[in-house]
Amino acid sequence: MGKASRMKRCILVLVLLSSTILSACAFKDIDRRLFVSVIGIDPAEKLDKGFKVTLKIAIPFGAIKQASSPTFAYLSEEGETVGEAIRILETHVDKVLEFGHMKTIVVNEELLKGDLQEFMNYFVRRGDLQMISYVTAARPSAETILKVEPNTEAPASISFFNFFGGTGTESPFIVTCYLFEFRRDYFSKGIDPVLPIMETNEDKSELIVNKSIVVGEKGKTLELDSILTKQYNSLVHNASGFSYKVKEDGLQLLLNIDKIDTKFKILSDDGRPSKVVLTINKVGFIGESNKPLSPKKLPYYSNLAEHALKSKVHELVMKLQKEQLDPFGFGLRYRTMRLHSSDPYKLWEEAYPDIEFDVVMKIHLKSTGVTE
Amino acid sequence: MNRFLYYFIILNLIANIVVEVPKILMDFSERGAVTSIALALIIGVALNWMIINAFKPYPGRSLPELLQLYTPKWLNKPVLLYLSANWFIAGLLSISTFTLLLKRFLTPEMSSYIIVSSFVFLVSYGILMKTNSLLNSLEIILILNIPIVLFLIAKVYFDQSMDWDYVKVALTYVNNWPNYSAVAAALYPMIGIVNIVIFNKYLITKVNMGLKQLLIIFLIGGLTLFTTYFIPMGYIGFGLSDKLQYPWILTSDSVRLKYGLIERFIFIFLLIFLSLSFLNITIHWHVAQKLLEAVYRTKKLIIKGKDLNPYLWIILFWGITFIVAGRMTEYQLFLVGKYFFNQMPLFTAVLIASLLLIKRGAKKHG
Repeated sequence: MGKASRMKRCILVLVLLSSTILSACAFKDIDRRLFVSVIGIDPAEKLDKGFKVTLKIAIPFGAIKQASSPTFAYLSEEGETVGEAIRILETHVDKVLEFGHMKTIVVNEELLKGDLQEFMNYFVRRGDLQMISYVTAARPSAETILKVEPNTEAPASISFFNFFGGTGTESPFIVTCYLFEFRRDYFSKGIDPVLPIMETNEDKSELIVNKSIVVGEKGKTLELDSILTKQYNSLVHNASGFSYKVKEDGLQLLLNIDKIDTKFKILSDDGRPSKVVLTINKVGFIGESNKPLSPKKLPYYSNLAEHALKSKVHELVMKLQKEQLDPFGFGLRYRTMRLHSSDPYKLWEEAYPDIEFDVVMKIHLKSTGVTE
Repeated sequence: MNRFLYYFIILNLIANIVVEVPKILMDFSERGAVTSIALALIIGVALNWMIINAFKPYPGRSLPELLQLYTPKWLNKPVLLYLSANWFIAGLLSISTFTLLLKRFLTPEMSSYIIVSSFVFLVSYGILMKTNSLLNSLEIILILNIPIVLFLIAKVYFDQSMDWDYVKVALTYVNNWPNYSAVAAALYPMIGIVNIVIFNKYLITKVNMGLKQLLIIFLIGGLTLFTTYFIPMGYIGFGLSDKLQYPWILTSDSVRLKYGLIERFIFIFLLIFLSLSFLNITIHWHVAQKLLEAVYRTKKLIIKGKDLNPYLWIILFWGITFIVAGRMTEYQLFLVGKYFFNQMPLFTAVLIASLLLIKRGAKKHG
């Protein structure tokens, strides 16, 4: 072996050995970390101004089989800002608080009526918080909701994560709002974000998500009940599912819609927006009925359903218009229709309160289900 | 056209999607970014055409050789020095921004010096490679990475949460005059072809530059610039993006791989773009080193038949990088990047002027 090649080997070995130094200062073992899974934010109780931050922390354990239910720890602290409270919380535990796996932000409903800028800032600024974490409103308070440990929760899982994004349950009643969406729509002109509302039952054994809240500018909020939430969800997020009820002349149908296609168009009159035409196409079949059905009469049933759903959608848009809220983004769409120099948003804001809505609903029922 | 020339163009376009360029463009989103991009696209394609055509008569020759042959000596040294400084700073800026990025998103507890040193170490290996091998590794890495890049970009385009209305709002600002800084920033990704100054030596086959080639460059450049500037709007929102340091990082964090191995898109995205930036840095510094070698070279450093001159430059590169990448703040880096882009037109002017001089000199000689 030549001298040069031995030299090369020595260098190679040195380089490989030096890689062991690299990991040493960057890595803390998993047993020195606490994985924060949910953050809850409430208004402060003791301080005049500020927040109460509650963390739900998943405690790791050796083998999943040993555990009968998941184990969580809860930490609460008040501070003038979210960051300050968390900074104090870091001194309450012996391990590093790790936020990389935090996936749900629970905000007390009351806080949505104030200025969101203050605490939103913290979540966007920190690099290790996911922008795809879910944001949800809590009733009665974030702390109560966080401390609910549902009976159906399996070990090594957190039910907060399964509600949203179609991970676990999929229902048209559940609105999903990601942090980046919330930030984008909240700060943009012409669209308002919608957050799901999380509630619990009396003995705190269940989490319930089937309502939502529209968060407008300057603390203007509007709660949508389950039915309107579903309508909103099916229009904006194309959520399909089993839950569309039609009632007419003693006939009661439950529709299972599997395809929804929504389009809207803004018509102008004299350079001013005058009318919004919403065209909704739904395809599905009948899932439940209180009377025997005839397949020949499918177009008739479709017609019935069209009428019933149309009035619901109309109710939703009228209600939103009355409150000057716009979760559909009509205003944003109007901004895309003209050059910025003509200031379309101002025109829109002036016109929105008395704009007309035209809902065109087309339902195509394909079958009466397995039985007639 | 030789496929390697496409590689240079594509690599520079893709590597610049992530960091400085979109940030600068978004700062100008209400002051003429749209028209600036269009203008930069046209200028960029024209520059590609000019540079390729200027090298066409000299297959197998690099710029330093040509300068030595056909231009006076007092002129060619400063020109080469200026050009190499540009190439070096281009690489330096990429390394520094990626160090900050890695520190923020992947390894927050690691010291920046360790991140920088792992960078420079690998890149130096690339610099010392033979130009020919570097060309081949460029090809391999690109071919391995581009399908993944296409997948990632497609994922961003077709994600459900992407709101195209914001993109359209950004387009309504089309009636503003282009801005100098924005044009310069958008031009920078388009001129990856300039690497030809060294690599031409190994591209023996004759390059032909016709309408078809121009069209391909135009399309690729247009699409990439569109992606760079407009797509983040759909996730960040219009008018809010200028408040962010790294628009594309936030965008990539907003995409969720629901059934993916890793749910967070950002990690795959960062790693792939990191590897491409790496390659781009290697190429930049390889060119910088070769140009510097043409400026100054001492026989004293040839020890036992081995030329140690490249090591001299590498040590210099290391020193500067450690000082800059370890000390600069994000904002300083951003400012330096902006100044660097702003003087890009001067760089292209010097390059093209020297190419014209070569042409004149060659006529006289010939």
